Amino acid sequence: MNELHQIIGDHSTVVCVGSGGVGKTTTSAVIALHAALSGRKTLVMTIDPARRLANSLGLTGIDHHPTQVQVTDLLELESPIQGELWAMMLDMKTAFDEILRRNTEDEQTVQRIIANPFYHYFSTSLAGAQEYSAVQSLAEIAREGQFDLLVLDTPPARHAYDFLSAPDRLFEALDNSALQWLYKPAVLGGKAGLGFLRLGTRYVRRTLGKFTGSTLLDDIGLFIESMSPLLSGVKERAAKVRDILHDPSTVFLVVTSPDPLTIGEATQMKQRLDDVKVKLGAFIVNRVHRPILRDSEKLPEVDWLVGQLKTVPGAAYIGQEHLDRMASCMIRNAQDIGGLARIDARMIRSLADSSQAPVLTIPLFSRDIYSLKGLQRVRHALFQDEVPDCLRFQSAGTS
Amino acid sequence: MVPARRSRDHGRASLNLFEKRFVINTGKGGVGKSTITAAMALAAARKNLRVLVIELNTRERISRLFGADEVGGEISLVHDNIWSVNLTPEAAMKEYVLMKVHLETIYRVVFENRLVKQFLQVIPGLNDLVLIGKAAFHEQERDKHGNPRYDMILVDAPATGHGIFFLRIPQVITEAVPSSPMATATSEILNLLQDPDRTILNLITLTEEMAVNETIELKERIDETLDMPLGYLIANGIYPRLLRPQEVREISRLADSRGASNDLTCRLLESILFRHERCDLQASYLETLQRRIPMSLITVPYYFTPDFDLEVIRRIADHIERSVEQAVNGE
Repeated sequence: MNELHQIIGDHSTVVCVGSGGVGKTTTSAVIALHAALSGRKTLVMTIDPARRLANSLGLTGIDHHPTQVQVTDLLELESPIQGELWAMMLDMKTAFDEILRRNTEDEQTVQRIIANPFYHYFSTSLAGAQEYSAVQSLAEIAREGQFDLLVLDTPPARHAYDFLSAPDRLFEALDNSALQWLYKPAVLGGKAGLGFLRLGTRYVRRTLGKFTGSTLLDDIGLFIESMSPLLSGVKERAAKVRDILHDPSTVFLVVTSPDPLTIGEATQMKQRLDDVKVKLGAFIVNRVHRPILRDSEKLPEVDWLVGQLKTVPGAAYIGQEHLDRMASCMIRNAQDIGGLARIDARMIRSLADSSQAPVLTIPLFSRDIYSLKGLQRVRHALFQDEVPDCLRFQSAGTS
Repeated sequence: MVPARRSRDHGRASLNLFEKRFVINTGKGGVGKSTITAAMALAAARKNLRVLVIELNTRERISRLFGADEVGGEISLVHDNIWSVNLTPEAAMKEYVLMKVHLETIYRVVFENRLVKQFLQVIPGLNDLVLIGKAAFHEQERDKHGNPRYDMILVDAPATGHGIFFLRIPQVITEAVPSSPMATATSEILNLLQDPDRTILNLITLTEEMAVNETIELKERIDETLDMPLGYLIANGIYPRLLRPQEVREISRLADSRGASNDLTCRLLESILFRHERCDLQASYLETLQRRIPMSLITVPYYFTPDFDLEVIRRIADHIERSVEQAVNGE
């Protein structure tokens, strides 16, 4: 076991952030699996548009509510695992609808809002809506206190702060006085010192209307007005979420691939996490090409390799010409993959140099992770746990 | 909602990328969208087309790929026949408003007011609209002789989740508020986006699970909500196979026998098998893509070079050019 085991053990909320396509969802599931195997009741909350995670956890589907994963059966373990593994899928639209319902008295209003042409746009694409519903769900579940560990997989972000500041931004936006002015001009009309109001609300409205059309303004005004129940208690909710993210028992992990662009984004995320004073536990670099050559080794000549291949039992049937071609392809491949491994190593080193946080790696696998057993293999790689023979995987350049 | 008939009409539209005026490349982040876009621009520029590459409010990549200085919001020449710009909603908005209200003073007093600014920030889709509007404007732009200023506008459109909204917003507005000035401006954009003679939408993906699934989902959403002429499905980063199937079997047999006494030989055997397993995986994803997304497919090989320079862009440009020729001749 390595220091990641320690980090996970020391916290009760783990938030995985990272750019899109780096394997955040798989990593979150692996961490949750590890915690469950270590004896904790764990919930992984994920955003997985492909719903592949459900399959890999042996579930026919997961929805917005926690479902238990039958780890013992799926891994064919001899004795039941100590902890429990639960999974839930964060569905943005459902989460947003739920927030709406919780804060709206009558179903009629809910329906009216949902039918508004702008609502769909708001709930699925407005900057921060996704992130907001994710942390809201996290806050809800944390409050209920049923789990020892929550692992949150976050929406892909180029910048971690999209995620961190989302709740604030979203509700600053909805709560902002300019919007209030739109649907209840009287609120602001009375206040002095607002530059443009001296020009007259009507004038501003007309100018804006030239640009957007006044019907649009009215529509948005109506929409915002009907959304206003959502605004009540917003500040308190946002504060609760902030508390959880800053709690000493919460730790962030930045998941990345070794791609230079993604590493750059990971470094920025770390910077941002530092700025807002949340705790970075570790970097996890996924899909790393393993080097083929050992430190002082050089790529062999084709002739040498052909000679070596000939000593392998069964090679006698292969013609000389064939062997030559195979050997030169093997060397060409070693150059290709070796080159990638070198770039990866360089990127990982630069990441490690730029930060105090530990950097852990997961190798690139030749197959995708489709099952709990697959997650188990990744777990062994990530936590440097001993790999049972039956679960050995093939990966570049290792035996 | 989208009648199948119209989709078929689009299907009959020419696949000749180099005859289109408005080319949109979309796909998830990290699939090499900028690289493919740069290569496409290069291929078009070599045919003597004047190309404007538009990046949208993103970390700028195109200028760097051509070895030019960062261009920001100013349209700048980055290579022979290739101009580039990185649009921001703020700049595009200002330009658009000034076109409408004509007076800088009014702009400053009204639109640079803190509250109005905040307000504009939260109008759903407004940022997206001014960006796509500005891109469409350049398609209309004429020089003093009345000739199009650019032959091809190449838009590097934001990653999928957002990408679709960005393209959908003109429709949302024309549907939501059909008789507003905004809708009038928008319907022109919509005409351009849906015109199979001028516009083509390409999807770029990697042959990896996540990227493939998201691309399939993106395609479904395009079918449901956008009525746009589709062009190419571009699968990037395909590992070239080194061995023939028979040789893979032989190497696999040698590796399995664990008879190689030399450790380095073992690793070399395993490594080449690993590569071919990944090739098989990629092939299976390609198959899925082709089955689920009936668009003209271009596969772009992975280039194993430590430095991603103009030479690689050139090779990808060659590749795209050849593939487009084949697709057009095969029509």
